[in-house]
Amino acid sequence: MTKHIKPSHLEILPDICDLCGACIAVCPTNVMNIIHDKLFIDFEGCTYCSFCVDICPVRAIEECYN
Amino acid sequence: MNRSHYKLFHQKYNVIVVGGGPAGTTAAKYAAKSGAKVILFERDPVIGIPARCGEGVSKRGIKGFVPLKGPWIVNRLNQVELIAPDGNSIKLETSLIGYVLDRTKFDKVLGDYAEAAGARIVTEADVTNLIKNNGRVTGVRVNYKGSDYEVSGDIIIGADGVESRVGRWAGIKTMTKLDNMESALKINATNIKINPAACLFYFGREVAPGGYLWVFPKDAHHANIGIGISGNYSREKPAKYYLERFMGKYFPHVEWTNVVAGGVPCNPPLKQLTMDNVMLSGDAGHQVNPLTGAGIANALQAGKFAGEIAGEALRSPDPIDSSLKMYTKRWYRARGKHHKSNTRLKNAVNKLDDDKLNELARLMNKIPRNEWSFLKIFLLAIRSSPDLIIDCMKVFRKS
Repeated sequence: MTKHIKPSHLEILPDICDLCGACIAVCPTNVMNIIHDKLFIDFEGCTYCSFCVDICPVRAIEECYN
Repeated sequence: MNRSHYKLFHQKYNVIVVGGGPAGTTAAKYAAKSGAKVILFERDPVIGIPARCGEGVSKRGIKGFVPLKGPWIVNRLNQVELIAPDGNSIKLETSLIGYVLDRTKFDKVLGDYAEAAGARIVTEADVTNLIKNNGRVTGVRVNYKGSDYEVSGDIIIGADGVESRVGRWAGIKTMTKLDNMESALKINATNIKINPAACLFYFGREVAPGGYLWVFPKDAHHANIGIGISGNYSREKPAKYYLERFMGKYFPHVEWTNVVAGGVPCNPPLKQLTMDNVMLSGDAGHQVNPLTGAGIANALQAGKFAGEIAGEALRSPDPIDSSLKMYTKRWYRARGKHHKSNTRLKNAVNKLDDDKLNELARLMNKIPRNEWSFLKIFLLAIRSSPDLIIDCMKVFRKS
């Protein structure tokens, strides 16, 4: 397996997100939440491990690299 | 502020249930039955929608919770077909394998039972946090139709699904490791031609790495089709990719609607299902069969235990927190052994590559159905493929 290069940003695609919560369940730093039917990441505590990107069944979170 | 809302939210409840799935409504029912004043908050406008679920269940799983006849049961299955990666299949037929549910109606009737027992159900009510006083949870903060309210309660039951926010807020370690999480997706196939009595399970790294793909027919022309793949594999390609590829290969002209995503926590059992006066139930408490990812039967059982024990704790002269600890004990006594052995079995099965799965299917088909027994399959496998047995041994070895 290739080594995971940490992205500089994670972008949530709200039109694709189904609010299933799989990403929240695997987040090791507990920085994801659903507020008013929308998924949010609190980037202050995010370590950019990308587990949320990996687990999403529909790829609703994108890794961005600068 | 609306006067009736004010009245509803500004009273003290014995039990606040967060989440209106099978675990939450069942917990609410049994808590209310024991005399507790219960309120249940559901984020979505209607109980039972969306159904993040395959909707397949065994008779034993739902018996005693709902009548076995009713609009919530849409199909009875008496055949099962396990399909190996090379296409060879193992077919089994019994008088009844299980049911296909309509979760919308199933969840609704469970909600009706909770209300009939005296619980109050409020939909469109999103619990946004717990209220704590000196470190102790005294209630929940809830957003209801755009306004925020604080509702106080003696006991909080978190039945809020895989994300288990209540558990996290309460300080229970509910994080699921990526390799224990199944990344899942389900569709409704609408113009399929299918044997309505048989559920199909497809296995293999090509079809569903670290999981399986399932087809649950509702009738001869409608089916739930879904997939779960291990979080270990979903970085490469998501569940959506595998499901679309499968549909293209096996059912290319079938129309599908209602795509629902989901995460299934296939963990070893949680060591502690409570924290002070907070209890977790259903997916939130990882009460899912880790081998199959099936959650309904576990959720019903867990909800029943949680509701009953909450009721007992309120009646007991002992402090609530210590009474609630009984919940974890009762759960372990009922399901702990089964959960642990299924965790080991899952780990062993996931190690089998496609060649070994093909071999296993071939070996099993050599034995006449009426002679099937675990021992027979075991002995046959030892003779033909010794390394299969090493994997099987690992299942039963104490970890």
